[in-house]
Amino acid sequence: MSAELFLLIALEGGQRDEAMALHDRSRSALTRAASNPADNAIDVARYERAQSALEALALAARAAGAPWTMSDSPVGQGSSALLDTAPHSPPAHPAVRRLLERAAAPGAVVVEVVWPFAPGATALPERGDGQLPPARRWSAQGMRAKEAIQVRFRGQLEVAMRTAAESPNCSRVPSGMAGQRPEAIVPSGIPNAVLTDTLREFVAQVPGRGPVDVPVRYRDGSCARPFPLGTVPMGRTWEPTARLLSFALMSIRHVELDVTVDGAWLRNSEISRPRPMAQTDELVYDTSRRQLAALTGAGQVALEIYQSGLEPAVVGFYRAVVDHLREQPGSLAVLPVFYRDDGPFGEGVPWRSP
Amino acid sequence: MPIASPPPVLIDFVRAVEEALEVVLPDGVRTVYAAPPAGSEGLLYRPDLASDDPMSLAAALNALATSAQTVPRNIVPIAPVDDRSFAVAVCRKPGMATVQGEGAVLRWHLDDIPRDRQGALLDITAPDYLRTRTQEQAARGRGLAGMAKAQAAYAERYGEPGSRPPGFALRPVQLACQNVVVGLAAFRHDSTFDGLSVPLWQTCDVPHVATHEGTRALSLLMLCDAFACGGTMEIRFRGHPEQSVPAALLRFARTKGIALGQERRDLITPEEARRLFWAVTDMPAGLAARAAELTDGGLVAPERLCYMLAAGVWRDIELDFMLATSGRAASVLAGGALPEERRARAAESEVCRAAVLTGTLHRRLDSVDSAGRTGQARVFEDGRRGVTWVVDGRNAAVEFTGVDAPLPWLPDPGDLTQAADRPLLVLPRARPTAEDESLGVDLARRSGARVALVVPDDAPGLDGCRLPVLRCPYTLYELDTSIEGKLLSARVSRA
Repeated sequence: MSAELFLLIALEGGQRDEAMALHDRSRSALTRAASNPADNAIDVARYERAQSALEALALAARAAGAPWTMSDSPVGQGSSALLDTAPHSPPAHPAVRRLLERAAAPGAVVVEVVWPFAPGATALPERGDGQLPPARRWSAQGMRAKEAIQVRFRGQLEVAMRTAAESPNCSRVPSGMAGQRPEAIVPSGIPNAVLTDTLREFVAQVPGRGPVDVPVRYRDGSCARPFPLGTVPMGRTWEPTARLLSFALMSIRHVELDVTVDGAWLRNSEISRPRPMAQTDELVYDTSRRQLAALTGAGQVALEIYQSGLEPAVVGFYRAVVDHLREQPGSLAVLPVFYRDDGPFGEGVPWRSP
Repeated sequence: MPIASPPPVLIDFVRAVEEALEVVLPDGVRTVYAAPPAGSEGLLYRPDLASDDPMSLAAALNALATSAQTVPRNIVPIAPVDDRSFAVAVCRKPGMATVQGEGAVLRWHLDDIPRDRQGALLDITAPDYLRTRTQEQAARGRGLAGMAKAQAAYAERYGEPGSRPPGFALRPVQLACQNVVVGLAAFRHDSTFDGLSVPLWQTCDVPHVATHEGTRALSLLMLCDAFACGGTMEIRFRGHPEQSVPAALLRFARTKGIALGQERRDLITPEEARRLFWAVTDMPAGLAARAAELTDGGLVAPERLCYMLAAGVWRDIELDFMLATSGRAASVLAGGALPEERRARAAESEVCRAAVLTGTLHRRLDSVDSAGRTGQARVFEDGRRGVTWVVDGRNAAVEFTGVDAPLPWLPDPGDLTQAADRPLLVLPRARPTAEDESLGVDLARRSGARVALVVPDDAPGLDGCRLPVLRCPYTLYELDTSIEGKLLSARVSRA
């Protein structure tokens, strides 16, 4: 294998100004991307183009005789190839200090460029003891499809709650491997009604259970924000006395609903894009949190949500509902309504304070 | 398994065959002569039938004698595979203790096919072969009827443009080569066991397609579907007319040393699926060794690596280059580093860019495209020259052999084209440095190969370069767009 080395190139004069402009451009693109992590492909692409241009500028300067040196390990870190060499924070790395001393004019900046094809041996990532284990099988002897799925999802929730209680430092699971603690729930492939009602059952505060945050991992391997379980006291009746609004969870999915609902909670064109499911979940969560806060700002609200079966949309929406109810108990009630192939819509179990 | 003796009436025939052909029949052939599997009538060539009977061994031997290629003297036909090929058993000659592959069942083509495809392994023993052939033939009619129903139901529900079936819908698949159907199946993700349900699955061998290729390709489609649906990779054949893992698949797996359906006859466990996925994924030997190193170290699940290749997210040469030159291939296969981790991201980008440059060049060198030629029809099938490669990981260089056409992407072909007998060694670099140029000059001097840089179309600063420069038609931005598409595919490849 070839070796990965790091070129440190000092830029002065006009090239310095150009480098700073590219650095600023990339930083603002990254800031915009960070403000909307679920839908940031364009800003990420802008950031990458600016960084790539910055590195190309440095390589061209090096070819034209700019001072440079080489390191066998990364000198800087973070999101920019431009090293922080501002006067208020003199560079700690001796290679950078020496490089700046060689620069003809004060105020030079240093750009770090990865050169992955230097002849030599590359350090490999740490290897494990053997292959990753195959997935664990699931068997539902003698059950019908829906019942089997419900049992499987319920089993996941129980294990996730137990392991989360044993390992309370729940965060986004990096690799989603089976056997990691706490174990994650996997909402992918769970039918809409089963997903919603089973989550609702485990969200309810019950003596001796929870509260815990359990990791959420989708089948594509992406890990979403943890889901809070056992956190909110829940009532089962649906007698809305507050302002009642009806929404389709997603626009366009069931246009026959347009005469029934007051609006669509999420825009299909924004949600149904190819991206890791956890990002879609996060986008739905953010949107829902904002919209719930706006709606309940003027008083209690009851929502009938006509759902379609996109799992990240369901999970993201109900996580927002739970977090909202934790902060403002009693301000919100939600009745899930499920589309059925064979007949009218069916009602689920309400999400509301008792 | 005890070996049955042929009934007395057959013993003389068997002895006559052995004497006439000067072979010793393997035990497996004796067994099927003695106790043919039920339903094998019309399949097994019998030594006791008269030569005017098409199912007689004598008639098969006469047909075998018409083969366009020299027939080895130690094979005996046991069954027809199709109109132009036989299943033959490998025998030993009298007086020999043993012979390599004795008892195995091979496929012998009567036509003048590529030599490396002649005599391919069909099954490990004659009884295994006949039993599985009989099993699949008995179920074929019901399978075809089931496929017709599944196709009609699918067309009615999802036939309209814009209608996309969800993973849990039964999706019929038809695999054809040159308008001849070689595989039929229907898949659906089944949440009751979080795996793939395959109630229909059948393949066949045909004269113009390599042995087991229909089975291999359909297996690959099935396993990719199981991966993409995101389940455990368990595959169940419940409801299949054969009521087990299909016989053709069992037979193909046996030739790869894989036993399927061991826990239960109608399912493939995730462990079995993993071994099968690896076996059906086409990898050159060098790539296979590097890929095994990666998966054996627990850095990537084998299923993910196989899927990335089979689904075309990364091509074999691209992955080979990344594995040979960088320690970052595992991260790339998982979708790449986060953009804000600039150093990791930049290193991965450079490796990916070089890999895509290499893959694009290989595709160009390997293709026989008659575009622009006059006097002949433009043919798109079988348009490969067979250009092979070896990655020099230490220098991040790629040596191509079999390059006998003018080199592409050169403003002035010059010496590179004149010295076509020498291998071509390229340094793919999206942003070449002076060190890369010096390395190339040094490699040219030491190796005697034709050495060139491969760069994007808009790579700057190459005036006066001492190496020939092959400019790929893609700009750096176009390369990056293509790479981002690949990384996104890796991130969202599972449902």
